[in-house]
Amino acid sequence: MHKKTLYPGILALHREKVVRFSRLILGFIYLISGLILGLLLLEAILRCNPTLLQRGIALPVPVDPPLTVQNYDVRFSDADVFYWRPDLVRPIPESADRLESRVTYETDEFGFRNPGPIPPRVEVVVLGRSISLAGHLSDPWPALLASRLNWWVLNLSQPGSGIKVKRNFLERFGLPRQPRWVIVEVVPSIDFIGDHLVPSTVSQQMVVPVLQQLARRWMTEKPAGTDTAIYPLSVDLPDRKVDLTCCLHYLNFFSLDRNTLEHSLDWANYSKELLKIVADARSHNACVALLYVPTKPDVYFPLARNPEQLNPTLKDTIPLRLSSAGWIEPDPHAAISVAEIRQNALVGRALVESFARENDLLFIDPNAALVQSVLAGQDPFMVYDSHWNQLGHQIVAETIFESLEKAACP
Amino acid sequence: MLLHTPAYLLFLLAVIPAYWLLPAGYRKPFLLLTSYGFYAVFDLRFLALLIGWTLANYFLGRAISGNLHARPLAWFSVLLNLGVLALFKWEAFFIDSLRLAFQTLGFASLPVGLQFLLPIGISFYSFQAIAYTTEIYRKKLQPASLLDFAIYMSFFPKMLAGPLVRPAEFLGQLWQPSTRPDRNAIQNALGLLLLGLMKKVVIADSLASLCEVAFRAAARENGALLFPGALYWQGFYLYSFLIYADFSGYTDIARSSAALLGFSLPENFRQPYLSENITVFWNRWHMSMTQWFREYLFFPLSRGLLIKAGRRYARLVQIIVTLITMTLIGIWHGAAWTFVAWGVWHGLLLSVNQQLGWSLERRWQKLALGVLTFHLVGVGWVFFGSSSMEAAGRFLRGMLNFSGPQAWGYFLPPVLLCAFLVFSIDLVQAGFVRLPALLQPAAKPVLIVASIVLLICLALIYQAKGGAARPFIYGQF
Repeated sequence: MHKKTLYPGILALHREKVVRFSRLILGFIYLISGLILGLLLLEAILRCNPTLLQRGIALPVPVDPPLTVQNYDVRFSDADVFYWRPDLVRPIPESADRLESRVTYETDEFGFRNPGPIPPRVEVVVLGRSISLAGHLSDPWPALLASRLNWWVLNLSQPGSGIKVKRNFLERFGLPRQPRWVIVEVVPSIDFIGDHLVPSTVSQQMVVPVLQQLARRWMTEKPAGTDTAIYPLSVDLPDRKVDLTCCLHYLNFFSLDRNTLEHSLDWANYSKELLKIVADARSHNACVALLYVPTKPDVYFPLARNPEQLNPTLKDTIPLRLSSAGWIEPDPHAAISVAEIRQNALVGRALVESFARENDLLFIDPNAALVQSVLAGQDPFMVYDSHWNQLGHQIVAETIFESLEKAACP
Repeated sequence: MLLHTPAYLLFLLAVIPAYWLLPAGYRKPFLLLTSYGFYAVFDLRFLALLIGWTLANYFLGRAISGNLHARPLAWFSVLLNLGVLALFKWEAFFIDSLRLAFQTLGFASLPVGLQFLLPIGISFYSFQAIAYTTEIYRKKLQPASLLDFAIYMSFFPKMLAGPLVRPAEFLGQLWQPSTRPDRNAIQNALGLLLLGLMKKVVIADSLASLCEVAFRAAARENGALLFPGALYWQGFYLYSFLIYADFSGYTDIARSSAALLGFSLPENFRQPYLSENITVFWNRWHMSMTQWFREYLFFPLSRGLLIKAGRRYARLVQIIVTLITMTLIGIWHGAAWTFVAWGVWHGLLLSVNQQLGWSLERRWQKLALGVLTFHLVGVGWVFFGSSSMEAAGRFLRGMLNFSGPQAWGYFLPPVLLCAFLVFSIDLVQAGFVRLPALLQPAAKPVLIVASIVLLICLALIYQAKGGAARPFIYGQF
């Protein structure tokens, strides 16, 4: 009697457990499916409407709202160095936080920095990053070049656009307009390395910058001005003293010698994509020019009279090395000296120059002109920011103008 | 406090439990105070205007009821409401006229204090007030108590942009003892809230708002016609989706908020873009406003003209009254020729449709006519959304520019995604599309999780980007 009543009871208990467990599993499946569907929709929305994203974040899409004119001011404290490593900079007293430029920023029908509408034919297409976009001033070099040549220069630069994104922009927006010239901005310290690590979806790329931005917004205290601060760094030049704020990731790159760089998969990857751009452009009868972008360390480090003054910058520097897989990766345990940095300062430039020569491309290098201006007592870079200022863009535009004038392009 | 912001959701989260925890006798005063508080957040001066407006109409309602001079009083009420509405709404027109008058009289400028702000929701509560006094005049409604009438005028979910509720319908709910929504009603209300947020935040703000590029292009006096036609086509479709998702999203949030407080607000949209002709469209678009105009303008005007002109002219009367009604609906949105053009366009479409009286039987015919109707409505939206008649003309001409075919690859994807979302929701709601039985139990929870994930992600992105939330389009009217 007892057994007869016990068995159904145990069975019922088991059945209940099984039902409960299967419900749990089902709930989990629904949750995961919902999560995936939600994220897929988010990705589709961000791709369709990149204006939801914000400028300054490295994203492979034009993020400014199309056909708008924005007016804003840029101060010392708006510098990119504050975005990435505010702890390395001494706080700027409010009274000393000078206005660096008043910016008028106009976008075309796609959100690129051009006056709209873009004509069906343009003479020059520019593929670059934040340097050629120059969101911190009103007249970037493509605009200056356009007025100098009286040509239509289509600026397809976007912050953080790697070589694949540049090619994508060229194919979608540049080549259909049959340009005569395609000018590709090359910043070895950013362009050559790490492109393979960039996530393939916009949503993934958004995560860190959005969290960073939210943290910055909700943070009550600014981290700037801690005792770890090294910038501005006082450096003696041949005829004067300069307060440098710079470097960050650019310096890491200068830990690489030419041999390492040339044999890395990063360079192989980059040069392969660059060749595709060249092939695309040539198939549309366009000539290609490579614009080498000298950074602050490129220009100022070799000019330092006393290299020891540059030692504090090493605190921020993580040397790079070639991994066993062939990719360049950071090596926090390795050591680096200022002498090595100065020695390697032009390795990237030399590599680009020989690549240009081998492939019959026009190589444009404004380094000498920028160095000349520094020696003449001028500063072609923003004070706290690492980008060229208006003078820097004028110098670069003039260099490009002279190079294009001399170049043979049918 | 806009209805799609986290602030409003927090406000709702505080108000609803408090409302139901209060003893029944305190609920109405609480609701009124909450509604006034909600309105005061926008501007304290608007609240003063609303209270004044409420008192004036309350006393007019009392005076009309059982009065021998009810007719002139009812007319006075209509004129007063419309007069004050016009003063605020078409202030620019009046200010320009006043400026001219002052200049003619030899004054250099206008007296200070004559520049008005447009109080939020004024078009909606002024129309509700007219409906109230008119219903009392027609002896269809007894005057309400001041408290009930004040709640009718200020009930926060419908304060900004309706839906316009018939006074008897809303006051009837106030006169009944409030019943707490059961589990099923709460689930439905929360589902509607989620749907409303999806329509507003995802479809309208995050996708369809791209249509602004086309309007900005058309607003350029030089070069507007040099932009690729694809840009204007994108604007054409996206604005149609924007205005629908924005307004119906708002209505869903308003209706769900009301439902959580135990109130039922009327439906405002019933899949209008699935309409097979323009008459059906107007039976499904902004239904509460259409009903208001039908009840208080179209029918009385038709009756009056028919009596005067005779049955012989019934068709002509119908055309004239339709044109007048639709033009006035256009003007109700604002004093601009673009709104007039929008109203006239719809008046013409309705008249043509009424006179042709097509009754199509075959499915493909209905579909073809539905597609045509959607595009004809879209042409109207071009006028509605443009800053001037010239800009609207440039927009429409720009659509005929078929150069630069590669631009379609850039401008088309947002349209396709938006159309997919809008029509998926509508087709499922209308019952045209049913999921296979096997997928039905999974669809709801998966869609709920997906919507919440998407809304949270977008909220974080908007927070990181900064700036104010996009207001509801009809909140401006």
